[in-house]
Amino acid sequence: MSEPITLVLGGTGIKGIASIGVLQSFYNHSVNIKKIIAAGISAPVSAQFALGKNPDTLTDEFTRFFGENYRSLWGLEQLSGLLRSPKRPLAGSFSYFLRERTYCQANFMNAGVLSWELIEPQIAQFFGNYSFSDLKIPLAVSVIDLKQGKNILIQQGKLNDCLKASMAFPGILPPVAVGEMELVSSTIFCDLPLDNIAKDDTPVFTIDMPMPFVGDNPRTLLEVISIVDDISSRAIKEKLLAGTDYLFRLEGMEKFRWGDYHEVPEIVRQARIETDRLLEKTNLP
Amino acid sequence: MVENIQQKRLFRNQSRICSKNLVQVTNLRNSGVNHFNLFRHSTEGPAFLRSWLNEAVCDVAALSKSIQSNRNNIKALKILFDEKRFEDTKIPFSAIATDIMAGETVIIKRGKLVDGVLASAAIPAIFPPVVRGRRVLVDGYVLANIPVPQLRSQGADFIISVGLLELPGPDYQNGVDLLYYVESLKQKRLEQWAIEQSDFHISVDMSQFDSSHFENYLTAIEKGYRTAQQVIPQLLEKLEKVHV
Repeated sequence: MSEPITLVLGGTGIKGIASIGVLQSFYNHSVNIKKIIAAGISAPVSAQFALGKNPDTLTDEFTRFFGENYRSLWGLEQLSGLLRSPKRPLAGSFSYFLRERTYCQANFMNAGVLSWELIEPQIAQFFGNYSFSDLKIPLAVSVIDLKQGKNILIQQGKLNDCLKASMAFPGILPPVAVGEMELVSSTIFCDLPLDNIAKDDTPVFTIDMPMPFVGDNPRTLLEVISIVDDISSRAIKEKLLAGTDYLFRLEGMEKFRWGDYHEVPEIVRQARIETDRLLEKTNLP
Repeated sequence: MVENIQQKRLFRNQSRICSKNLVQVTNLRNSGVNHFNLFRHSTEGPAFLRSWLNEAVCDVAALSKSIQSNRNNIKALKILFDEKRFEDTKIPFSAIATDIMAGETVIIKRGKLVDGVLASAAIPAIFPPVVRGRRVLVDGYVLANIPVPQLRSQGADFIISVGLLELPGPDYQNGVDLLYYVESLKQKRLEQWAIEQSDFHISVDMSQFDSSHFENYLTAIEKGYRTAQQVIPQLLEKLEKVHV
């Protein structure tokens, strides 16, 4: 068993599911996790692990959920692939136009493309009655409080709403009200929750699931916004990473996009293999 | 003491230059440049107009790179700068833009002022990116709203930063407002890091101004002038201490 560590998990969109593989690998290598700080989909995965349950049950659950709701998630996978297909045939271009237009329209008329009705039952099924105090490993969930205009860590109260908030990616899902706060996912600010880490005696272990930078001459307004958002998030991440003690960069994750929900089992498998390899090469504290 | 008088004289001269530019900016009103403000009508106009504009913006967003073209910007910049070049400026001047192909900040200090300033003011999604060779340039605010490190890299020994960015209110009507708010939080954070590296910071209270309401620019200029006037004694004191 190693010295206790603080584990930082993030990842944009569905890539956060890779945390399942990371946690399994850390568990198999008997790494002593004293605390987890998570953002995005990494938060429910970490909560499942911190409850003492096998996070891999979530792999099947996510695969089933995305399989059943493919129609509701129409276009999300395509949107996440912005700039990935330099030459689109005419039919593809038309479909792309419709998806971009739908995204814009949904965000002008509502607070996101999807509604919580789609996801709420699944979260309630897993975490409905649990609180942060039920967790065997302390967990801090990183979110942005719109009222305060800053990133915060939530470490107490009911899990359900906080985990919803961790996945409330602006533009995709509406914000979540928790008490006086109005919360959205912090992964849009920086895909790693490094903003509020209080330095204590445990070394900080950060798992980065990088996205490739696709610099391209954009063709649509949404592509322009997407690139600009990516550039500023990268700059913030680079600066914040200076505060971490150990950094595992899972390079294999670069090939996956934030909306690759068909790839869930492969993302988890790849993350496990890569974390295993990196842990074997690292002298743990 | 002599240095102090010289510095005061310098500030007075700068003020004169500013006033001259202000007259030029005011003259733009009669220049045939179209001042129609789409965003003002999209939030304040009658419901049917708002709805129509939203639909139009959705169409534009899915088909085009920006909501407006650079036509009016070029017209306005040509009135201000004509054929003048960066090399002609009396005080060394550079414009900052973001190259979205490379994901990095670009310092423009050569060529026509119109071209450099156009790229530096190409607000993403509002105006189209400006293509210069292999570079695709948008407004420099993306990474360097207050470009302190960029100025330091050019040899500046005393840097005065000026903060104008105010966070919009947390109230939102739709997903676009939310995305804009979060983007502002990111800019504020990047700006904070830049300010920490400057030698003197001037913060202009812009809370009563909305970046999409262009008609208040005279009041904004006045506000900036008054704020600067208030801090000049502290600035001179600091300059004296560091013997610049």
